[in-house]
Amino acid sequence: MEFVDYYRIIRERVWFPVLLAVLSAAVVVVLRAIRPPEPSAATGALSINTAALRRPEVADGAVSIAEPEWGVIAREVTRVVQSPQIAREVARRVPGIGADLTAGGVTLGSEVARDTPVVRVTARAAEGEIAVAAANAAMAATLEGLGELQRERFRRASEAVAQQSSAATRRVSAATQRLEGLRSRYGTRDPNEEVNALKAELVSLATRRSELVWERVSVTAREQMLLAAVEEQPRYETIEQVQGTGGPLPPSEIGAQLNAVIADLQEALKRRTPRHPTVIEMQRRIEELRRQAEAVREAPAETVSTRIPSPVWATLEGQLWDMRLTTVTIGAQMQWVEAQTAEKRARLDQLQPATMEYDRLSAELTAAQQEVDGLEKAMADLSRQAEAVVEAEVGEVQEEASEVAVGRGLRRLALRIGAALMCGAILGGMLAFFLHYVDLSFKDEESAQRVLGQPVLGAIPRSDMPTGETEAESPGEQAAP
Amino acid sequence: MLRQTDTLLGARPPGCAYFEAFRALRTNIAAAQEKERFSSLLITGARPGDGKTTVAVNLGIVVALARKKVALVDADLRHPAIGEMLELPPGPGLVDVCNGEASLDDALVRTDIETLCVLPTGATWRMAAELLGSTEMSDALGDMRERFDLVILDSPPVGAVADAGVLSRLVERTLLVVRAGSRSPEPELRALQSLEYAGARILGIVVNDILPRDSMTYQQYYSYR
Repeated sequence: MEFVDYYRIIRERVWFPVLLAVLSAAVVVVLRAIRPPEPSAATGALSINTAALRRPEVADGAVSIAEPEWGVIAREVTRVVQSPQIAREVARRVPGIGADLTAGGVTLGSEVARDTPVVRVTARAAEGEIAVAAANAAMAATLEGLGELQRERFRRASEAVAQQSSAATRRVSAATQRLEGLRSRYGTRDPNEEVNALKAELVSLATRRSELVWERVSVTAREQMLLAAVEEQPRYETIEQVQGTGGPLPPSEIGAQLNAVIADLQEALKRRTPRHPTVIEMQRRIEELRRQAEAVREAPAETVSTRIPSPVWATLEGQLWDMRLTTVTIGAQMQWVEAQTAEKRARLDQLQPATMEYDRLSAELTAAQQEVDGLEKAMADLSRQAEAVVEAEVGEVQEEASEVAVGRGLRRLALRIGAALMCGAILGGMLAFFLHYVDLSFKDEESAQRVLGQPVLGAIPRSDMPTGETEAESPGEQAAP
Repeated sequence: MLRQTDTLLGARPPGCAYFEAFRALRTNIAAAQEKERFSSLLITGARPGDGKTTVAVNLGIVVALARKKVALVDADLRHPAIGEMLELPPGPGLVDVCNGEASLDDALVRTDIETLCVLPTGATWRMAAELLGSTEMSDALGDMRERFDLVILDSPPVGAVADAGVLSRLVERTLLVVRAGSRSPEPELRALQSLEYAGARILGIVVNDILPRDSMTYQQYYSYR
């Protein structure tokens, strides 16, 4: 549909919007005529101190003081002005109203300035004096109510902080008790410190044990060597041997010479054949030295003219005993080290679970203590802020109420008539459209096509043929396409 | 013979919106003929007084003015109106042709427009539906379709008698005339349903007697020139 079609629909039933508009306006006029006359009104202004209406907020153990926007404060002031408490207070303060504000014919209202923190308080009453008194009483009661509201707000915040602080203190106490129980149960002041000391001692013991193991290995090797040397060394020597007077060589000298010749022989065999004279000579010398050594070793004591203990053997024997003593000492030390290690390990295993619980309890205690500290600080801040806010005035009467005689309200009446005309016209238009769409009768070709569902080949208007006027159409006209 | 009245165009119709509307109807029918060839058209309506006869006569005139050979047949045997509307002299008509008492040439009446012939009802006949459904009627209609570019039949209303249903089966297309006004569309819907049951091929509808639009009218157009 085009705009002209909407216009046609409205024009067909133009009396609908017109009639409804006129009827609505008439109703407004009649209601105006039968209603009682407007009461007197008085208006005063309150200047609001927004800084004094800051709001404490307690969250997560912290307190913040927020200064809300003027719109939020304005809504609160409006609620206070129109609250039943203010109505009761006004009724109590203003004589002549009675117990109930509504029954006394007094209504309170408020208008909030958009940009400036000013609230206009309006009171309507049958008499101007009562309206003025009610407005002034409402302003005073509103300021008192706002102050009381603010004090209540800080009191609640303090209670909330105190409750949180109490809960945190209880948590500190509980954590402390559990910590003390853990300390007494494990017999330690701080399991972590003891565990660390035990670990250090274990490391030291392990080091000492390693040293002892190496020392024992070394001593054992030396002991084996000394034992071999003692077994090889003859226990006694002859005087001749000692004095070197042509007697048989001492066994030690024989062994040394024998070893040297064997080494020379091995070296010589690398360069010479076994038949070489030098090699043969060396072999002969080796045989001779072996016979001498055998003879000295197997010679009976009585065949030796004079026997004296061999000093070499004695020295070796003494060293051997020293080594054996050292071995025993090392074994004892190792036993001590292993016993200490086992003891420390047992204590460590006992303390391991306690460390985790100790850490958890310590963290819990620390957190609770920090919370307590924070809440104590928050409480101090809140108290300081509360003193500052409560001492500040939440507002003051900027303008005393003065009576405003309300006239016949012609402007308001005109506005209401205008609104009634507009609403009536809109409703009438909607009614016209509604009737158009529910009306299935044919008014034009569009409605006929819509209702009958057949194409409209022709729309014949009512005849407007003039008399005595003809057109130049003749039988010679071309056929239409 | 083709006198001009307030609703009848006459042989030399004046320039007006009423005439222009019939020209538009002629154009639309010609366009339909170009899409699918047909040469017989039944004009009927849902109820008496819708303007069937006026539309049929004026349509015949405007088609004939376009140099098309047109036969206008008064098939409303119960209330024949074309003869009276065009002030035709008494003579043989459709009933006589169907009864074999007159030939088609004798019954067809020539008018002031050379290409427009009128076949009046002729003698009265009580068994209208039977006559209209007879073979003779079918033959006569076939004869006229061969001789004319368009045969227009004016019929009784659909809702009143069965003649329109019978005729709609003989012709190739049917045009339903409805009168604009604040009335219920029920008769028109029933008429369309009846015609569809009868096997009619509905060409479309003609809305008669509508209020002139607010847009530029014929007179405004010519005064604008």
